[in-house]
Amino acid sequence: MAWEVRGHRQVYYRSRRQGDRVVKVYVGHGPLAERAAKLDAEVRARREADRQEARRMEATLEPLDVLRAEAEDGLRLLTLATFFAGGLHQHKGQWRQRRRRWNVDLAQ
Amino acid sequence: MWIWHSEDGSEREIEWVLENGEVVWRLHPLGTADRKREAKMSQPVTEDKVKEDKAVAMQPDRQKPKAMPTPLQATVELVRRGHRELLPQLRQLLKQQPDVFQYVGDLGRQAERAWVDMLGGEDDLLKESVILYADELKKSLAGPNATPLERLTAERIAACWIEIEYHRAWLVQHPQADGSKTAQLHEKRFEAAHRRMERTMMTLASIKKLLPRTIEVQLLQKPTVTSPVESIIGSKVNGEQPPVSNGQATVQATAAMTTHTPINRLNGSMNGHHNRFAALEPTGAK
Repeated sequence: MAWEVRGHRQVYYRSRRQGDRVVKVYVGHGPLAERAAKLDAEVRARREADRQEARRMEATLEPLDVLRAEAEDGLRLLTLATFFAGGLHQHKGQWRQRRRRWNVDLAQ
Repeated sequence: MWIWHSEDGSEREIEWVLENGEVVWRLHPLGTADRKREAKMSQPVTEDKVKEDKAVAMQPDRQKPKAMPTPLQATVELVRRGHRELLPQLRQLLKQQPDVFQYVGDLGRQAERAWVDMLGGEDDLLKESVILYADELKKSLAGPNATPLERLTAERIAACWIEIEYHRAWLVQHPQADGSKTAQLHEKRFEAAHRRMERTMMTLASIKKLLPRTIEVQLLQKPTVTSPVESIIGSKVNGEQPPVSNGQATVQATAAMTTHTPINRLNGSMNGHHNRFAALEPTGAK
């Protein structure tokens, strides 16, 4: 978004992406262009506030994520250990009971 | 025999060595990176080198070195890779470390409490209601006679549920924010929490289905224990019905297990079983 000088007056352009390119779209000059520029500035401010709110929210939730991740890691380790200790094995992501060889497994 | 190589804190190797010195396996064999590091370590240390290393170490975005794996982590990893000979050791480790369950449970509860605070805000009634509902959810998911692992998994599911509810509540309360970055963030986290909850529920189902369960039964017996002879004498003297003897004692099974005192049916003593088969054996035989 920019004001540019064309001849003896200032005109307002909007930038818009068309595919890979950014193109300028002529909006106008005078009071109409000033109102459009004001509206664009408000939209930009709203977007920036939204971005800041999202960043603030991320920062608030980050310690909770750390706690959750630690608890999940611990639980995952304990689950794996208990499954293996219970004689299970993983076959293509699915937990299965290992076929029992009575003369070998019971001796352990 | 375990051998841990951690001379400078960066080397992480675990070996299983037999008594005769033969290396059975190695968790982290020396690779190219390790050899490069060894070659680097063998170079003479200069002041410039020390300054350079310090500057690298002080970089803010430098990743922290990974923590040493605990014996439980290392054993699980090796069993996962197919070393079934370590299963007895793994069982032993699980028995020896009940505090791991406690630690993981504490972490889970902290996370849950933090999510409840986020969800409830200043509303104490809402927070207490959520906590009560989550407790009910945990109990119903874990079921009666739940093992510590089942309880922990149920707690995780409840924590995921609270997280889901938080994001859902935010999205419902802010309809005007639809399409904004913040709304996208909450939607993304809502879906991630939902996936996590589904995964944890599947794990709980696997635990309940596949792991062997020990169901403990409590035998409640009347404390009035008299020998059959005494009961007969008593009934004759007083002319009343004899009390229920130990042989016909009513047995009531409940879920909670405290202690079961064995009662000898022959002499009525509660001090323990009298091994009739041992009495038949010759004195010297073992």
